[in-house]
Amino acid sequence: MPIVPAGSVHQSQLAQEVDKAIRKLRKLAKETVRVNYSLGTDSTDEPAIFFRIVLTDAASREDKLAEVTGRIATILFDEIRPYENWRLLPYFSFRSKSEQEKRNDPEWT
Amino acid sequence: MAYHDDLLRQALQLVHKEPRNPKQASLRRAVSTAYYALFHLLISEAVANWSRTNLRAALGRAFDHNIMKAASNRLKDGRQFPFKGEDPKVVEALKAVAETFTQLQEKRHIADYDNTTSWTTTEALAQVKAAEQAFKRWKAIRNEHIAQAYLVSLIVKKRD
Repeated sequence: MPIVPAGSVHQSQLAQEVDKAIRKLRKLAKETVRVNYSLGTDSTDEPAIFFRIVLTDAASREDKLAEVTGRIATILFDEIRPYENWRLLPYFSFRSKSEQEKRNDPEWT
Repeated sequence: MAYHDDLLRQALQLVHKEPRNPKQASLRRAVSTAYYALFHLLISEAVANWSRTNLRAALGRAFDHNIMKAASNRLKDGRQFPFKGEDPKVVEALKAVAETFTQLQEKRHIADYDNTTSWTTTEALAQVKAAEQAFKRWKAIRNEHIAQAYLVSLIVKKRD
């Protein structure tokens, strides 16, 4: 994954904001098992923050997924305001806990 | 049934095509199809305002993915678009549609071109369900002034 050019965001300050948002997310959305993120650029070379969120298997069910993922993305978006405050486009990916256990993908661990 | 509705249905079918051992081809096509479902929904809504029906398809060809993305991103900035005096529920729904468009466009790019990314069913399904939600939200707000203004913004390149 490409790296955001150094200095384009104050990374330690951003990290604090993101960590704070993740702590809040854990309180508000118990379906969240784990949240990882990385900075980079998207397919049109715009600075971006990529969230990788592992959900409980129950929350990953088809009848729950839209509501849960929408709520989690909204919490992170509202807490961090990545576009307004950091000019970062936020992107969200979701996996179930059992899917991640099978794959053991380090980017999600 | 309209083309965009068929695409959305097809995206869901692709996610569930091989429930036990999903093929990457099916999951990736599902994500890509979900994006195109929303892309064509918004275009069809925009060109429906053109009174000469026989020219709507030609007008639809004028839409550009990058311009649509830029217009959708601009809505994220509350300082640029405070939407004062508008119904907060309508604003929220419109922003959600625009946000889903941006998300899906990026995921479509990965799904179509990035062979290093391996999708899970949940990852793909989340995108398809997001498109489904965007369809529902759009249908609830499609006649609102700010929704119609958004449609116009999708075709207009912003001048700096």
